[in-house]
Amino acid sequence: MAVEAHPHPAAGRITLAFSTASLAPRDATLFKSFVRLLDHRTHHKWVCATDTVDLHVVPEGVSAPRDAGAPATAVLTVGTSRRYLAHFLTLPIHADELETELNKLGALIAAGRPAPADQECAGGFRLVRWPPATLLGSPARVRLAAMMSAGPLTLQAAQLRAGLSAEDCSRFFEALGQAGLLCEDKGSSTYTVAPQPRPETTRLAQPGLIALIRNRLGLAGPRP
Amino acid sequence: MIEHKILFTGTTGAGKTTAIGAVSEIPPLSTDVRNTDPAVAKAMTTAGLDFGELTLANGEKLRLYGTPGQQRFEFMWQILAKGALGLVILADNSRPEPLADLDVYLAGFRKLIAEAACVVAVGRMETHPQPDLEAFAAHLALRGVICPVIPIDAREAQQVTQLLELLLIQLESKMGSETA
Repeated sequence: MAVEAHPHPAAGRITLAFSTASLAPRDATLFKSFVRLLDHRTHHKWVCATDTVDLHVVPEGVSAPRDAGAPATAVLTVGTSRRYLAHFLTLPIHADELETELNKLGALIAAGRPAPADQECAGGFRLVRWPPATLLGSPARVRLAAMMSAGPLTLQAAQLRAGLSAEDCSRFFEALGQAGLLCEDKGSSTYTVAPQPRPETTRLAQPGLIALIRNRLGLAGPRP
Repeated sequence: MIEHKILFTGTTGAGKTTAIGAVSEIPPLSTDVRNTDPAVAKAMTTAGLDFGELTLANGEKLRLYGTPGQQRFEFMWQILAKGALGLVILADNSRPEPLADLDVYLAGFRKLIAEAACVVAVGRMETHPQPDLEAFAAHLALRGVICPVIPIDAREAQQVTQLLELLLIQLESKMGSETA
């Protein structure tokens, strides 16, 4: 890990606490070691705690502990496959990536807006190009890819509109990501094609036109 | 009577008239003339345009227009593209340069492709497997177009219906984004 010379932030850094109680012992030790090494670069001072914490670091597939009635605590998920969450750290840990996530989360927490668990990347993901047949593999995936070709899609929206399970959508996103066919949309409203609605597009706003066409062609409707 | 339209385009002999006929509730009405181009192995070819139609449950019509394939009719493409819901580009993989052919329609319908929905359907792949669908997808991406690319037998109604469904899915996604 390259350690750059970096002026130590002023003594007025806010101290934030994190917990690694849910991580495997080896991952927890590594994580805490990295945080200590990055102390001179992070915008906040991060300390490991066991009681009241500002950030839960959890492995993928595990929910952060939450006290009833207490506000949601920020969550950083660590793993290898669920890369489509807003705050996710890929294993093996890279110092730059951890520094970025800690600074982002620290800013949110300091501003009083902890990121809820399982929050997705706001802008969604879009296709870089149409996927190969080996990745498509099923009519459901073809339909999902067609949705994504029209514009960015979040994992949640994909699950809702494609009628696939969260796991299936996640696997497809992961496969696309590994093939280099996916890029994160930074929350802009642009589509992969021109975003400007044309006057004739108002026809699309006619309630039910697409449903009428589907019905005439004998096609099942999409999930709402 | 309110009409909606979807366009089918592609080179002469790519299967536009056939694809429309596979799903239309009326036999496609064609403005065919005798083919005088010896390079094209067809007795007749579409000189103007042809269309089929589907009647929706509310009485409105969905017109399926097949554009003339030759580039000299490009002026008609712009007229037909106005107000179209989407575009199906039929590629004939038996031709010498299918990707160069594709470029003609990507350029000719650029505005419609950017604003509506588009599907590229490649025919005759069973006898002419190259370029493959990957090559088409990569070529489209280089041209800034991300859209479904699928193989097609234009005679098969089910496959043509699948094409149309992929157009509808794109339109639904855009509607969902625009109204969000």
